[in-house]
Amino acid sequence: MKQTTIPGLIDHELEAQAMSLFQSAKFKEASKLFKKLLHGSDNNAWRQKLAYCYVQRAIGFASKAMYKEALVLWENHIQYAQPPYAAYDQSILWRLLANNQADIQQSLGELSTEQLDKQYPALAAVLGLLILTERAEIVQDLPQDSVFIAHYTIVQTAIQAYQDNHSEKLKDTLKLLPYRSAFRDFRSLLNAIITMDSSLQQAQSLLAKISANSAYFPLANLLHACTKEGAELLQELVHLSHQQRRVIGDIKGLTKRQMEFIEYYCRQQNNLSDKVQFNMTLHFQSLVGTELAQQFCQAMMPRYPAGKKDFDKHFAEASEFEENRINALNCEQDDNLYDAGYYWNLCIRNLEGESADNGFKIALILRHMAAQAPAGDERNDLLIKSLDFDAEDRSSYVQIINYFSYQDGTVKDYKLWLNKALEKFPQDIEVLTLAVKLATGNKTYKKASQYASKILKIDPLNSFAKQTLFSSHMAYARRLMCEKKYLLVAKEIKQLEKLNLGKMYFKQVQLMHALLCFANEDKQQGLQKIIAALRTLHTDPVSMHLDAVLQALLNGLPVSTILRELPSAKECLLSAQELTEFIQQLSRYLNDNYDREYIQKALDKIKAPLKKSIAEQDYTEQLILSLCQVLDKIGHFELLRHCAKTGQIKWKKPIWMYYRIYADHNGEVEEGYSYLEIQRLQNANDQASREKDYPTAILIDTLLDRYFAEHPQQSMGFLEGLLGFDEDQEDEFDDPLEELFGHLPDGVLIDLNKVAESLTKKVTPEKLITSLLQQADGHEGLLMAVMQNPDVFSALMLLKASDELQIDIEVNIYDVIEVFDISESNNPLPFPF
Amino acid sequence: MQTPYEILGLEADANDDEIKQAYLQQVKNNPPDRNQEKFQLIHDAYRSIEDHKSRLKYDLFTIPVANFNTVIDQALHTEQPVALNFQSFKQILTVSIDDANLLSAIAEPEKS
Repeated sequence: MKQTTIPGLIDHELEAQAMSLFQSAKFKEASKLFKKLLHGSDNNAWRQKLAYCYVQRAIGFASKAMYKEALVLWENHIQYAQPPYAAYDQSILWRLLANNQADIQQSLGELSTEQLDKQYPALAAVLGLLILTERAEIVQDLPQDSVFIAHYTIVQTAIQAYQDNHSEKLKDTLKLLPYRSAFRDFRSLLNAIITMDSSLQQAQSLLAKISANSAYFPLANLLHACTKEGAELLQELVHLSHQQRRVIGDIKGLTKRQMEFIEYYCRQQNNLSDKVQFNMTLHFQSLVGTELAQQFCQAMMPRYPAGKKDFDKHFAEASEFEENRINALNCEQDDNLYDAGYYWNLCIRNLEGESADNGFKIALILRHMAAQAPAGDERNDLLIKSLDFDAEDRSSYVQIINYFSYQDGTVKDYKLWLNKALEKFPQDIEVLTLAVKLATGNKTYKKASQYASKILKIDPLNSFAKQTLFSSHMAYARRLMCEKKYLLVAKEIKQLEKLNLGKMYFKQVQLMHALLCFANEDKQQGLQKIIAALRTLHTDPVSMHLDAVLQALLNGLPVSTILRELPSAKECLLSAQELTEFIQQLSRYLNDNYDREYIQKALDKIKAPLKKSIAEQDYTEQLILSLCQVLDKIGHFELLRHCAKTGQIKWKKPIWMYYRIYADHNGEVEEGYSYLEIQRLQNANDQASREKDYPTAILIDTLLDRYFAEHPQQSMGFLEGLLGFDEDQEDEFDDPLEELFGHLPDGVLIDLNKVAESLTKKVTPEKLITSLLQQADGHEGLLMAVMQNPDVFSALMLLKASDELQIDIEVNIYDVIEVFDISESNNPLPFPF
Repeated sequence: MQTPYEILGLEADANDDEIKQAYLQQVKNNPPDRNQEKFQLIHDAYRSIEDHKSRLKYDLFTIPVANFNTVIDQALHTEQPVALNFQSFKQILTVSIDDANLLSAIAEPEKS
């Protein structure tokens, strides 16, 4: 082609532009430029690109069902391309869809056998489907010698067999179609239809094999929908056309009303609000059934309360009980237990009014309410009330007994409910166990033995019962020993031997034997036997001493006589293992309800080696903590103090501060704690919370609660107390400390407070007062005021702290004297002497 | 969420015996060593309705669930099995024809 106006340079720019548009899939614009370029010079690459642009544009038009336009563009592409043409198979389909008969005949007539059978399998599959559905006539235009036509003949035979209901023939015929046939998917679909009668699941898996790219995919989808029921079917139907839904409805045997339901749902599917669901259920009540419709609508009511009127119109008004029940459950779901309780009580009232047979339901509701209620009186009362309506619930009895067992001053109730439970459930191990515990606690060992024996009859391996039985016999034997009824002691020991409980128990029986020998037969021989028995029980002299003292005290025997014969424990240092066993021994004594006073006395005898061991041995923190716990239970505060001091030096956990202060006050709160002690406990509590050491935090909280209950005036924090942040006095300005330091920012006050605290640790109060008095030139009244009013001391301490910090707080000692109204000499002494 | 009755494949008015039989059958079909979670579900379902007392408890303290799917299931319930005779097949074949699908079937031929 002759180049006229576009020089090479412009060609180059045009080409770049065309390529850019081409790559951006702007085929229309690109094709214009390529055409322009080709006007200038013939270039094979440009021709190919232009042809490609035409094809892409043709495909674009076809996708918008503009088949004629697509075909024009495709024809244009031929001018710039060589066979085999791109999208040739598609162009044939476009012709079919454009429905120009002459054109169709021509294009199908040009289709060779090779092309139909091998080159365009997708086209063959589509033509196959069209021949089977709406374009049967085109079969005559196709190459008659093709494999396609041969397979079509097989398919026709299969369809005839299907029409004649010859399923075997149908199956056999389908087998003739090979995998690579254009009718392959049709074969799979017919196989799925055959299988539907016997197994819907198998049919579904056959249908799932049809690829989403297959021309038969929509048919597979429709057949798949046919295999579904109910909500699943509806989910399939919403994606189909109205016509398709009708066909499937016919196949499924759905009624006209059911089809109306489906159509209604399809119209509302994007707006399926609670209201729509509620109204649909009411509207199609004849399909849903009155019972289900009522259930559903009632359950919807909390979400759609506006439906109440319609509900009442369609159904008999919901029973008051049912309404209250649902309200109660909904409140529970919202964690609103208060209102839930209100509705449950209404339910109970409804049930009481309805019939006398509702007792069990009422009992269940009361127990349900109890389970929701926090542990305490309310829960217990509900459980007790529930037994008025159903007295056979063992669990309620157990819960009630357990509740009373942990309360102070409820022994009478505890016994009452335990007796009731024993009467109702005489063979129940849990109830019998509670009875054993009560009897042991009351030191009625015979009773405890009886209950324990009963448990062992039901459960011969019950270790608690074994232990209790043993302990009860032991305790009884000791009591007899104290009463010097030695024959009866011997009888009890025989009973103990008969129990045959194991090695450890046997050793204790041996010790009892030895003690009896010492008390009643031969002192010397008895002593030797005691020592021998203790040696088998313990490996270290400390534990031996402890046991010996305790046994002597419990059996009313002379402690010193027995101790004299034992190896000395004074210099003994317990190993970690020995201390562990020692702690276990103490725990056993506690479990067996040994008199704490006796245990304390026994501990007094061995406190020297114990203290030495704790100070010198390198025990783990956990081991000393275990010892502290058991010493706390025993109430031996001297040893507890020693442990706490050691622990505080060695370790940083807040529990040590707790034990330190707790033991310093012998576990009591009646005597006042110092300000510093309270402060330290509060700091330790904060630390425990920070470190998520909740058991310690609870211990400290409990102690502080006890303390503040005893000393309510000190329940304010130091700074609050200092600045008078009492609610009643908040607006008043009559607190001298407030007057003196109220102007200081909180941060400064906190700093002053910290320094004041550390000063009290470093210097004795006497020295501090002397130094403070010097600042006031020996003001005599000041000393008196410090003694009479702790607030004066606090004020002076804060002054001292400001000196230490070198902060000017605009307050001096004369301000203190003035604000507290301290005169030079006329303050009377606090005592009349 | 399925009710215990649905889990065990029972009607809501099933009696003790029927419930027990259904439970045993379900356990047989879903032993714990095969699917522990499913077994637990079946076991819990059984425990919640095994006798009159537990059923009463279940009825009292179970909040009715407004499950619209249950409504749909009931509304579209049909006793008729899928009957796909030749006429139906022809109908469904005809309505399945979709130009867009035909186009895409050729545009993106399956690679086999």
